[in-house]
Amino acid sequence: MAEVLQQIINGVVVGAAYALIATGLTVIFGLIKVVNFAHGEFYMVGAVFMYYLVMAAGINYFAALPLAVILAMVVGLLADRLLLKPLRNAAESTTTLAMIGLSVLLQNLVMVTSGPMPKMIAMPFSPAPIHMGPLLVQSNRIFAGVVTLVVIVAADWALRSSPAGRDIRATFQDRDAAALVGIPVDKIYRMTFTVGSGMAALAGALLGSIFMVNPTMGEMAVGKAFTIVIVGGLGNFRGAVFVGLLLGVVEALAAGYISAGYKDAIGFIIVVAVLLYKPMAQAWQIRKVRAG
Amino acid sequence: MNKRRNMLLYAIIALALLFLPWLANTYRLHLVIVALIHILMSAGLNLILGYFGEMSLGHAAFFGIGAYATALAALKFGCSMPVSILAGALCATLLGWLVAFLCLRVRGPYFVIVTLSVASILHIVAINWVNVTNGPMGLMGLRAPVLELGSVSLSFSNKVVFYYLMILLVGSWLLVINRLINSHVGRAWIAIREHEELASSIGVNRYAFGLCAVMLAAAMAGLGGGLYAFYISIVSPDVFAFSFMIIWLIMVITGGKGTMWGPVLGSVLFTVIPELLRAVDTYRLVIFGIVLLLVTLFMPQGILPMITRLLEGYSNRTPRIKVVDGGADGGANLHRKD
Repeated sequence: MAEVLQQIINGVVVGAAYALIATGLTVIFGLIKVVNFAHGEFYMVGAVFMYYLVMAAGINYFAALPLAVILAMVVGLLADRLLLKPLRNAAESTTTLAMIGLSVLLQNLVMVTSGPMPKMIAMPFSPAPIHMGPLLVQSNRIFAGVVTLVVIVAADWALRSSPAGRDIRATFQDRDAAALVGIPVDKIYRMTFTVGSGMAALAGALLGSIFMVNPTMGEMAVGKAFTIVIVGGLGNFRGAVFVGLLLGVVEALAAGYISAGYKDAIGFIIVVAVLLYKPMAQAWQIRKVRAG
Repeated sequence: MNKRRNMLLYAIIALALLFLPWLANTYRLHLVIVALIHILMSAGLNLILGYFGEMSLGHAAFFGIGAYATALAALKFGCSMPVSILAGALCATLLGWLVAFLCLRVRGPYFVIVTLSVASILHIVAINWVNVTNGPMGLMGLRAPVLELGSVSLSFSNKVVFYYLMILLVGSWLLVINRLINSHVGRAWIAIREHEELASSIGVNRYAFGLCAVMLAAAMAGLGGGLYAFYISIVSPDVFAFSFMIIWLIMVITGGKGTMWGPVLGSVLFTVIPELLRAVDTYRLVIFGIVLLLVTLFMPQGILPMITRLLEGYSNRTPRIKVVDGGADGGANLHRKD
């Protein structure tokens, strides 16, 4: 029993980070309706900035965390300005390809500048685990989990209650109508993309310090994020949080009890299964969003 | 007159292709063969992406299953090359049916994700099912056979022989595609792509035509995978990798999706460009990414439609009606202003 709980605790920390990546993506995906393959690269870029800030520039870990996120958000802002804005009226497949191009560019830029070797980020916590009854939890994992949950709750509040969040939801529902009532749609796009990328970068900076930083870490992350977005529902913020946590736990349990090698297949199988059993609901949802 | 000129052009191209092995060295011939395999793949993908109008990222799944099934048939069951390649194509077609069955329920970004999921699952299986697939090491030792025709023996490990085999296959595949897209099937695909509800109102069955497009493309991709397996004589899980499948996507979209020759042009260009960039080794993929971004930014319709537009602009100076990209964005003009 303790072992199961231990797996669940480990899963929750990873799942919280998944949720953070996926919530950023679900809002971007819901808004620009494009398969944003570059989202995983922002996760990676966040981790890489974190590595350079902490290990190369020697900045305090807690100061480096927001700095890394801001730097990644600048990259996101540039991407929106130079790439998404000119393509706002282009075909879906063209924009998707542009995002793939951005992903190739970012990944290889990092590969060239910092090499393919996985890197460690030193954390200001003692590596000794904390005992909670029969459970062992490392303090860096607790820190990552807490930061993630705080940001998710704050983002959820902002999306539901702040004026900017209201504008985002309005644009999400019907961007032409939103434009008609004077919502600066272009600014909403830019803000959403930048903040969404920042959330991926935060997840990367946190998970990168727990595991390793390498240039290809974004590829798996983007697959997971899309899984979560689909199962949780397009643009559904709380759905993404719930499914993200669930996926983290299920993966941890599967790695422990079934097979570590097949762990990463679970999300994909769930997606296929969901679409097999709930095709009509999904199809309806897409029509609604596409019409919007 | 125009038709005659076209015939002459085709004759010149055919002659050039026929005598190419005498003009190219081994390395260039290798590139040509790779480009031909890519044409086989991207022309099929174009049926789904360009004509039917859904973006499939599962093409690597068909390619990979074709390659693995061919390799397994040849290595574990000792089948001959044609039989094992056909077995690969058959497996890919069956997978195509399954993928179509799963994916045709959904549209747009969902279609992309489900096709991608299928390929990712197969990728993970290929890495982990070591008993059958030999894991990350891959299956090795495929030998192309020697065909004895009386006193002449044709070895398929010879690049020249392989080149003619590929030319034959790609040529017939392009002919089939050309006939298809000019038939009622092609018109049905375009009707579905342009306006699904309208198409279904006049009795165009999306599922049936989608199944047709996906299974055809899958069969060809399986064939391509089998040929590839025999050509490079090793099959590793990389054939399912994301980096592998985006190359065909790039070829189709930058070449010009929904055009007959766009993917062909794209395949040739994006086989040659990465090779040219070998000179700048480390920055190769960085520059590749930049090239990709520039093409999508400045030629969102693709290179071939761009060229045709330029040529038409020079030959007849009538003002052209600008074709608006349909679908995704109806009232986009409303907020074009910042």
